[in-house]
Amino acid sequence: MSERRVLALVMRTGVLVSFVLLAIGLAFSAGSPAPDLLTPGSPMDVVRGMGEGDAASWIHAGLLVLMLTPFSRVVVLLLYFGKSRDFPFLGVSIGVLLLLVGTVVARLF
Amino acid sequence: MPLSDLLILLATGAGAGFLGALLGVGGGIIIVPAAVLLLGLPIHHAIATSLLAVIATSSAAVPKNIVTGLANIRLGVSLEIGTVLGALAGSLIAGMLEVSTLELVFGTAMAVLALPMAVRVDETRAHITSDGSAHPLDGRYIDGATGTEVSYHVRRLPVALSVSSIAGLLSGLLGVGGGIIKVPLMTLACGVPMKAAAATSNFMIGVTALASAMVFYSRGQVEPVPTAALVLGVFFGSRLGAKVLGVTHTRTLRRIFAVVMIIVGIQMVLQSQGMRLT
Repeated sequence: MSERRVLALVMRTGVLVSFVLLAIGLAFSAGSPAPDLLTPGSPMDVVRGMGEGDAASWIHAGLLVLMLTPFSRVVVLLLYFGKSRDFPFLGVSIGVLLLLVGTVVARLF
Repeated sequence: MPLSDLLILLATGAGAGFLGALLGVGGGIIIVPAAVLLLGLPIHHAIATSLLAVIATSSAAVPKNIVTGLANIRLGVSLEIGTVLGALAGSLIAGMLEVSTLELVFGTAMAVLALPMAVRVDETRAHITSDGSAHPLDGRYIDGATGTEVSYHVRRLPVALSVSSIAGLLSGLLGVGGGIIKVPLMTLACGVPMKAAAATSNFMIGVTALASAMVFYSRGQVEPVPTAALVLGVFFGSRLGAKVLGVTHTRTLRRIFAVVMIIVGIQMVLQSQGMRLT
């Protein structure tokens, strides 16, 4: 499978999973008071909330998957550039990944 | 939330996603003013919502353009360093600004950015080559409107890198994709055909918006229900926009959109001063 098809598959999967989680969350939210702003917490808290039918937790999970989708795209391209020994683009991809990971570490931990 | 509000959010998301994917602008320039002016969200929350919707636009629209070759992956990756750095700076600055200041900045930026949107950006500025692509950044795709193969050479990468940082800064500051700068830049400065520029912009804006979205998310500024409804609408609209992109001429649409941007920009400036047009 070409790198373009792998990329497309990763992004389509991310969109589909995110879509389903957000739709379920929105359905749970119908007729109930609007949930509070999302606060970053542990993934286990989100999963626990999903099990309890908490609308915000389902939406939270959908948004996390949504944010992971472009992140996965960066990782897939990095692996492809590494495999094909395309060093200039490998370097650029590593730079972008470090910036994203650095932001997560700096803001959330 | 009432069903009517939910339907407005879904329709706004679908419209923003459609235009965002079609014009390569991400849709944030529709979502932020709609969220502030129609739904009354605080602008920082509207920006957070918009950034997540921009990720959705990019993620839903890009797969088709990746497979067809319309999105220039190497050019997009090259420009991402600049846009991500700019986006991080923009989102940090946004956190320091008062609501009225940010509304004033957003409204002014919208009115000014309508100019590159209205400017005639067409294929005559593209550096079409007849001997196929040789440089790693060069691109090639089949034009769905004409059925012919288009090969082009990418020029002036350093200029594009510098201006991309500004596009990233605006993305983080205002919650827009930044495509409104990147698309004219890639076409006018780099010689990339308009359709390829829009598709490449869509490819980049997801990662650009992600950098800023993580900052807003970490501050707890994401409103779950409006965001979910807008993002779901965006999924539908952007997939349709990506399909239409390959086979349509967007010049008239861009000009109409530019006029709307000016009107909405003025409305946002007035709101920052405690006034309303309507």
